Amino acid sequence: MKKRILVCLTAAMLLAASLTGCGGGSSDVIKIGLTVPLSGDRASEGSYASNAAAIVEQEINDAGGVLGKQIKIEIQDSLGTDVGATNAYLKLAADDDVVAIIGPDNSNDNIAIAGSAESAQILTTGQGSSPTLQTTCEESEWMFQLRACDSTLCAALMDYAYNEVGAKSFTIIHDTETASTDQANLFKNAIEELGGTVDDVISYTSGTKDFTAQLTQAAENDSDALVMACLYTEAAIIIQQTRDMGIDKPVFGSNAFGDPIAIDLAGDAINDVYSVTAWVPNTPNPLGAAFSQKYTETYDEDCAKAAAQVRDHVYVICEAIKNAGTTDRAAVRDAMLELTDYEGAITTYDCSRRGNCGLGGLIVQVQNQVPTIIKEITTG
Amino acid sequence: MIVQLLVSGIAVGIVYGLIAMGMVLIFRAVGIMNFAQGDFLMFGGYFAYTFNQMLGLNIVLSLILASLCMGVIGVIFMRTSYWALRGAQAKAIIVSAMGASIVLKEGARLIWGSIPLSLDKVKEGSVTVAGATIQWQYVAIIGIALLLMLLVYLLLEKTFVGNILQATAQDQYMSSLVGIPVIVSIGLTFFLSAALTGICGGLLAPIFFLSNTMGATAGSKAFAAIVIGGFGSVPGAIIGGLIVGLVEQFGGAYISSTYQLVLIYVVLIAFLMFRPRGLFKEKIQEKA
Repeated sequence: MKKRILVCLTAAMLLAASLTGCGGGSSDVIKIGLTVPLSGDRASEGSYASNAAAIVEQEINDAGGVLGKQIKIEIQDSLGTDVGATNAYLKLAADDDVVAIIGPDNSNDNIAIAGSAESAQILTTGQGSSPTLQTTCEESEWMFQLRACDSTLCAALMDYAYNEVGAKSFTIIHDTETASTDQANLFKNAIEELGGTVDDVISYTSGTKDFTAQLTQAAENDSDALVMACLYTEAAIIIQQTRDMGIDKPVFGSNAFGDPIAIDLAGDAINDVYSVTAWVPNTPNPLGAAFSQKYTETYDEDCAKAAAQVRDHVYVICEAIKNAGTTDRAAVRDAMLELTDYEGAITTYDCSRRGNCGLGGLIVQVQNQVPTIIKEITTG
Repeated sequence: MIVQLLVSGIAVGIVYGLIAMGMVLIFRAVGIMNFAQGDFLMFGGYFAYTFNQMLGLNIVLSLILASLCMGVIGVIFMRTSYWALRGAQAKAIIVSAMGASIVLKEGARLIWGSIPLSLDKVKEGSVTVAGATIQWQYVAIIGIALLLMLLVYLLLEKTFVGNILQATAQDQYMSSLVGIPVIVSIGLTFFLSAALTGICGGLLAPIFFLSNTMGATAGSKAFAAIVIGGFGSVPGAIIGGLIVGLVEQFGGAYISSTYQLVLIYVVLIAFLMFRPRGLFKEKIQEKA
C-alpha cells in the first residue's frame, strides 16, 4: 500500500515538474506580480490592493491588453512582514512569465525584497515612501520607488504646522518600523530647521494596541502639537485613545491619518487631524477621480491609497512594456528608465530618478471624516 | 499620570488575568496549556461584533450572547482538538491546539474579512479622576471582570457543578469511578474557559479594534501572567495578569515605551530565575 502511494506521489511530482517547465516566458499572457498583505495585521491594505488589481486588470484587458496580450496580475500574500514579503516575492520571481513585480505598501518590506530583486533581475516597483527606500532604489539596478519620498512631504507638513497653524513645540510619537522611524526623524529635523522645539520623541513597537503609557508621557510634555508617524490601524487606535484621554491638541500625522482605512476605524476622533499623503479619494486629478469613482461603484467603499497605488504601478509597468515592445525583463527595465513624465491617478511619475519617482503630494485635514486638501506639494 | 496608568494597567491587567484564568481552568482539567486561548479572545470579539453591529443588539446583550457562542466553540474545540487525542502525548495535543489556532484565525478572516472592525463601548465617554481622564470603557472592563471572577468563584466553590469540575480536574480516573461523566465535566470546563475569554474580546475590541491577529499578543501576556502567578493557580493567574498589566503601563511610561513587551518578559524571566513556582507556589516543573 505504502509503495503504491509512493509511486503515485512520485508520478504526481514528475507531472507537476514537467508542467512547470512548460512556462518558459512564451505565454500568451503577460504576468505582473503583486505582493500585498492578505493576512495579518495589515490585511486591509491587501484587500484594497487586490480589489484595485481586479479593476485594472479588466480595464487594460478590455482595452486590448499590452502588446496584443492579456495581462494577468498574480497576487502573493506578503503577510504584512518583511520575511513574508520576501517569500512572496521569491515565489513570483520563480515564474518565468512574470515580467515585473509590485512590492508591498510599506518601505520596510520593500527594503527587504530589494536584494531579491537584484538577484532575480526583475523590474520591481516599491510602494513605500521612506528615504531609506529611496536610497535603496537609487542604488538598485532593478528597483523603483513609485512614490513621492517622505523627505519632502514631512518637511512640508511641519512647515504648515509651524507657519500656518502656529505650533512651535512638538511631541513626536512613532512606530519603530523603518518607514515610521524615518518619518519621525524627518519631522524632527524639519521642526528643528524651522526653529521649533521637539519636546520629546516617544516610540512604540509595531502591533501595540494600548497607547496609554505613550500618551500619558506626551500629555505631560504640554507641547503645542503632537506629531504621529504610524501605520493605518495603529493610527486609528492612537488618535481615538488620544481624544478619549482628553488630549485635544492639534495632531499632525503621517499619510495613514488621511487614508480611508484609518478614518473609517477612528470615526469622529480623527476629525481635524492634519496629515501629508499622496492620495485622497476625492482627488482633483481626473484620472484619479475616475478610478476612485469606479472603485467605489464596484466595491461600495472609499478608494484607499493602497488601491490607487496599485492602479498606478500596473499602468506604469504596462507603459514600460509597451514602450519596450517586448516582455524581456531587462528591456522593460530600460524602458522604465525612459518614462519621465507619466500621468497617473495619484501624481506624475519620473522613473528616471529610480527613487522618489512620484512628483506630488498633498497636505490634508480630516473634516467630518473626509480628508480635505489644504495644500498641494510638488516634489519635483 | 499615576492614576491614568494605574486604571489602564488594572483594566488591561484584569483582562490578561481573565484570559489566564481560562487557560488555568483548562490546564487544571486536562494538564495541557491551551495555546489557542488568545484566539478564543479574538473569536469572542467577532461574535460580539456580529450581534452588536450586524444584528443591532445592545452591547451588553451582545457580550452575553458572544460569551455563550464562545462556550459552544470551546466545547467543539475540546471534542476536536483535545478529546480525540487525550491518550496521545502532550505535545500532540499542543500541536493540535496550535493547528486549531490557525483554523480560528483564518476562519475569522474568511467570515468577517481582513479589515479591522470596532463595536460599541459598554459606556461611551470618560470621567476625570484626580486630573486623569479615564475612559468609562476601562471602568466597565474592571467592573465586568470582577463580576465574572466572583461568578466563577461561586460556581467552583459553592455549587455541585463546581465540585464536579474540581473533582475531575484533580483525578479523572477517580471521578469516573464515582460516576462523574468525565467528558461532560471537561466539556463544561472548556465551555467556561472559552466563554470567559470570549467576553474579554468584546470588551477590548472597542478600544483596540478587532482583527484576526489580536489574540496572539494577549495570549502571550496571559501565559506570562500564569507563570508569574504560578501554574495551575486561579488566584495566581489573576494577580499575574494584574502584574503584567501594571508593568506594561508603568514600565512603558517610566522606563521605555519602545520595550514595553520586553519589560514584561524581563519580569517573567526574573520569576523563572528567582521564584520558578510563581507567586502561588505550584512547581512549574511538575505541571509543565
